[in-house]
Amino acid sequence: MARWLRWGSLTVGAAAGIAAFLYPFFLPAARAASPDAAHSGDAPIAFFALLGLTLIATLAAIEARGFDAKTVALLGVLVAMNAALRIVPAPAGASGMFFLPILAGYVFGAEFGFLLGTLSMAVSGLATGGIGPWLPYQMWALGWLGLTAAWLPKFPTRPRLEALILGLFGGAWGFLFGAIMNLWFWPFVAGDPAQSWQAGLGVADTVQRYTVFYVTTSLWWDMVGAAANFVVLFLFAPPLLRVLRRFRRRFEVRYDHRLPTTDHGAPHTSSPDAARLDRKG
Amino acid sequence: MLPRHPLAWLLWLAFAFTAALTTRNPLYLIVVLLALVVVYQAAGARSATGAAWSAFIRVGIFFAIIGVSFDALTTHFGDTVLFALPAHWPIIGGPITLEAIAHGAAGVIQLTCLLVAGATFSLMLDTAALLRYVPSAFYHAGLVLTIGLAFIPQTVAAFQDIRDAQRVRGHQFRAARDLLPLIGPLLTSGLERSIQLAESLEARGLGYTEGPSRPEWQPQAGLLLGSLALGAALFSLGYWGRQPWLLALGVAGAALLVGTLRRLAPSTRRSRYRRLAWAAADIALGMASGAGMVALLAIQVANPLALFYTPYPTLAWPPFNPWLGLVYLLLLAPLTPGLLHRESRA
Repeated sequence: MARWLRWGSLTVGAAAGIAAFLYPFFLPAARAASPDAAHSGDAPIAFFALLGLTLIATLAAIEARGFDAKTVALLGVLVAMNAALRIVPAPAGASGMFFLPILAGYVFGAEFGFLLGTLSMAVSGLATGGIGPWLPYQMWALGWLGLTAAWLPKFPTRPRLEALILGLFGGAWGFLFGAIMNLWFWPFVAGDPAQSWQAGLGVADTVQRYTVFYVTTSLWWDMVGAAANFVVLFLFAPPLLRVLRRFRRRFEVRYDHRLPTTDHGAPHTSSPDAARLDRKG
Repeated sequence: MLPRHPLAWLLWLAFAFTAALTTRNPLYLIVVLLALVVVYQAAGARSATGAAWSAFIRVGIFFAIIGVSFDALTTHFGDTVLFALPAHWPIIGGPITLEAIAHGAAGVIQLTCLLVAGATFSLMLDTAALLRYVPSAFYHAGLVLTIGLAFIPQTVAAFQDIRDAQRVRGHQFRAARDLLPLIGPLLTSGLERSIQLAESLEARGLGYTEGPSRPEWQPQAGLLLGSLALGAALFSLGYWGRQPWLLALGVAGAALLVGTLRRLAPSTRRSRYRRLAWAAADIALGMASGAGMVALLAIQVANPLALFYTPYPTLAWPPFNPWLGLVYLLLLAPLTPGLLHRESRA
């Protein structure tokens, strides 16, 4: 039950993020028809309240989960590494920040991937001055990337297949990340009616106009990012997955004082990993 | 001796970020940058940690310049045309203007201000002291963020060490595949560091809880229900306005969240050797930073044009108000003469 509830807390955090992305679309037509009115009315209040709620839900999920020292340290160090990767030079929409949350989410699970994505974006924003209204959206988007990576099928004995799957996944997220990030400002952009949102539009029309907007403004930019994600993950995923899985095994080793002892006083080992470590001496 | 209280430095950081982010006027930004650089030098830019942060700042500025160059090549707006690239070239084809370059240059100064402020704050930050002020319910999250911030320079330094070592061994970085000897050891060394860190955290009692352990489902259920109620109330406010039942739902959700967080808090006992006192220097720094921030925000609200500047459509000399310049100089508060006097007495 606790596991389901833990998932529920994170899901609510993620859902609040989705709600903040889509909130402008749901504002009453009278307010949404005027971008200025939308910004100066209830939208900012609800927006910031939802931001706070998401932050609380995410951070509280960490606390209620009761992470141990190993997880805190691992998460902290990977957050630092991913934040530092943001400054690695990359053309157009490419970024070094994508591949680590994907691999970490794939190996350590959805919760870890989500936290790594959100927290590393927060830390990189603090360290590089990338603080602005876009930051919470970036945190959510990268968090979702890490979260969904855990849902991919695992083939530990077929590394090339895993590399292909992760590469395609990273490539798809190259487009998806850009498409998601456009949403925070697109409802407020006034421009070509064929590419702009208007209050009262149906879902199909909204999707059609957004698709035109995305193709004309962002597609080429994101294509570079998608290609870079695919290349990096396809080339580097097998060796990096080996490293991450090896460390996951090391992190899973626990001393259990309740274990029965042998005649010589040494504890029996109950897990394959512990046995392996025991053999290594 | 510089002030040490983490909350005083947090205020200073907030002031520095406010100063850098509320204007694009290059004259004001230069004043801010000069003040920040002076404080950064006094904070220990020449120390080992300072050297790592300096490397991070240099790398950041380098990539900011690249980004600005890209902006200058792709923003074909402004009256002062320096030269023109063939129009049929994708993206960069068209006039290259002085205004676009000036706009980009202001962006570089702005980013540099933020990087130097962040580096100074990290140099002066007593991580352990700051963690004392993180609410107990968010202790672990605060710890992760603090570790993340603290390990960035170490990661950059490790990256440089690995790159140098690989070059010494004759490795050449020519294609994407050649990056693996760089990324692999970087990840491995980072993970090794995390194990050492975990051991030291455990040795200091992290994760120890006192009292009977609670079933995990209780806080999870409280968080889930509280978040759902508060989120639904907030989201619905836009539709139905301030209906009493919505407000009641929101208040109930918030109460449940706060109650759950309060229940989470005491499960981790935090010991302290002694309370961190506010010295005169810390109070002075906090007051100066707070006053500067309030002044800037008041100006931003009362007369936004005082801070506004854009080089478009025609580049013009930016305005400069000396009084506003003095407000920015409050960033030098950590170096007030009284503090130096205190140091000499000590």
